Amino acid sequence: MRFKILLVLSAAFSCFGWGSFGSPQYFWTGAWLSTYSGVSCSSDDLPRATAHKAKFLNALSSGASANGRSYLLQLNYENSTMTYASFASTDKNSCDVVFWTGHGDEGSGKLLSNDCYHERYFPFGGSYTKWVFLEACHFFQYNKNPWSYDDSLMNGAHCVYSFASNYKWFKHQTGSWWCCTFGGCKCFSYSDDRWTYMWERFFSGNYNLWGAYSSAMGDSHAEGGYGVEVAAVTLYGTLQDDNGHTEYNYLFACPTKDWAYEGLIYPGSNPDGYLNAAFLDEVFGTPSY
Amino acid sequence: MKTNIFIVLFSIACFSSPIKINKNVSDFINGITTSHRSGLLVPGKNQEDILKWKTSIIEYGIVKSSIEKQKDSLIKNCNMPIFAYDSKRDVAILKSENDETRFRVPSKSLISNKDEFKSIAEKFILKNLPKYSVEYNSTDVTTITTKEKTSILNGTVNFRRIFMEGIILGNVSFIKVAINSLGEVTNVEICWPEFIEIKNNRSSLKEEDNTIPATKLLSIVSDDYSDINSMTDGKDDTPLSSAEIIGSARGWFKMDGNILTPVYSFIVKGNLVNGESYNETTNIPVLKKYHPK
Repeated sequence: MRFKILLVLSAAFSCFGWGSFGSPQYFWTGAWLSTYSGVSCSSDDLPRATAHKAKFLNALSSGASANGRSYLLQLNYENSTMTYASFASTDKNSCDVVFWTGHGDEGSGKLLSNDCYHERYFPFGGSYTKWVFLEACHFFQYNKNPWSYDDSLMNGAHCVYSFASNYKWFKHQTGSWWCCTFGGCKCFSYSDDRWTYMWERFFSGNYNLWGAYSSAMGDSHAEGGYGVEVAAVTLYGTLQDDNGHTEYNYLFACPTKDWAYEGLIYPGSNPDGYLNAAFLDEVFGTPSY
Repeated sequence: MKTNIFIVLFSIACFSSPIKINKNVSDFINGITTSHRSGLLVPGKNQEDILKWKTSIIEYGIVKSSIEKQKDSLIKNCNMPIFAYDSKRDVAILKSENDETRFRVPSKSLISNKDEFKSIAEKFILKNLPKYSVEYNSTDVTTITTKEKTSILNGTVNFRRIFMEGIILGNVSFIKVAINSLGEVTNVEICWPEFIEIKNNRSSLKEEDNTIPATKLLSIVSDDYSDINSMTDGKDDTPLSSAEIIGSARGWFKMDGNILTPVYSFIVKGNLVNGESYNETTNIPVLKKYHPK
C-alpha cells in the first residue's frame, strides 16, 4: 500500500517530498549498551543492562518472526565499543529500531557514553529509523516540552520513547521470605521483563506501540514496587492513504501492528524546530526524580 | 550490607521507628494503620466490614477463564462491537469503534482531572458489568503537550477483583476501563480467571494465629529491602533511615503452580538516608504451612 502525507506534516517536510515506500516489512535494529563497570565517570554500575538488552532484542525478534517481519541486528555496541562516536557518528539509516540502555541525566536530555561523553547532541534517528527507545533515567524533563532540546534530537526518527523520571532495575522477590521456601523459588519478578511485555502486547495486535510501551512500563514498575513516569516525543500529522482514508492528528508514537502509516515519512526528513512534535507522558505510582 | 541494615533497623526500632514494634500483625490488620484498600464499589459495605476477615483457610487453584466464550454477552452488555482475546494473558478486550480516538491529538478535551475518569468508569461497571466484584485501584492518565497547549489525552481506570472479601494481588484478575478525552469509554479489559477450591490439602492447613511480631516484620522488610536494593542502580550501600507501614489489607497472592493463597498484605515505605524512598508490598501468608518453625 502506498501513502502520502496530506496536510499538517507538510510544513515540516515540504522540502523533502512525499514518503511512499509503503508498509515496511522490517525491524532492523541497532543496540547500544553499557553497564559502566570500571568506568570512572559513572557513579553507578548498571549490572542488569545486559539482561535488559537481551530481553528487548529477543522479544522483538520473536514478535517480528511470528508476524512475518524481517528482524536483523544491524548495529551492536556494548561497553567499551559503546562510545559517543559509535552513536553520534554511525549511520543509522539501516535501523528501523534504535535501542539505548545506559545513564541519562536529570531531565537534561543528555546521555552518558562509555567513554565519558556526557552529551545531549546525539542524533537519535537515521533516514529509515522509526522508533527510538532510550532506557535512560530521567532523560526527559518532568512536565516539560521537547522543544528545549537540540534540533538534532530526532534526526528523522518518528518518535523517541524514554522516561521523565528515574526508572528502576530490579530482581524482586514478590512474596517475601516464604515464597522462595514454599513456592519453588519462582516468586521473582525481573525488570527486564518489561521489554517482553511491551513487544508481546504490540505484536498481539491489541495495543498500539505507545499503549504497549506505557502499560508494560507501568506493570513492570508495579511489580518492583516503584513508580515511574514514561514519556515520548512524537511527530504527528494528518494523513491520507491511497484509498482516500484520512487519519486526522495521527500520533506516530501509536502505530498498530500493521503500522499502516509508518512508511510515510520521507528518508532524510528532519523537522525544523519540531513544529509538529508532541510530548506524551504518563505517571504510574510515585516516581523519583 | 544486611548487617548494616539490621543495625539501622534495630536502631530505628529502639528509638524512632514509625513502625509500632510492640504491636503484632493483627494490630496492623485491624485498623492501626491505613488500609491500602482504596475504594469499594459495593454499596452498603465499608472498609471495616471488609477487614473482618471471615474467609476460610482454603487455598484455590487458578484456572483459565471461560471469558472468551462470553464474547456475545460481553459485546451486548458493554455495547462495544469489537472483541479480542489475549490468550497469553487470559484477557478479554472490548473496543468501541472510536477506540483509536485515545491516540489522536484531541481537538478538544472535556476531561479536566483524573477523578472524572474514575467516576465514569465506576458508573460503567455498575451499569454494564454488575456481576463483577471489583474495587477501584488507580487511574493512569496520559497527557499530551503540543506547542499550543497541554491537555489530557486519555485515562485508564484500574479495578482489582474482590474474592472472598480479600483483594486479588498482582495482575491475576482485574478490569481496566479506558476513556478518551471526550469522556467516552473506548476500551475495556477483563481478566477473570476461575478459582477452584483445592480440597485435597485442606486438612493439612491451619490458620496462623496472627501473632507474628512486628520485629519479624522488620526483618522481612529488611530482607526485602536488601534484595531490591542490591539489584537497583548499584546503590547497594544506601541504608534505610526509617520505614513505616502505610497500608494493609487482606489479600490473595498467587503462588507458583497457580495456587491462590490468603495473605496479609502490607505496603511499607522505606526512606533512605539519601532522601529517596520506595514503597514495598510485603505479603505474609495466613496459613501456617508457609511459616518457618
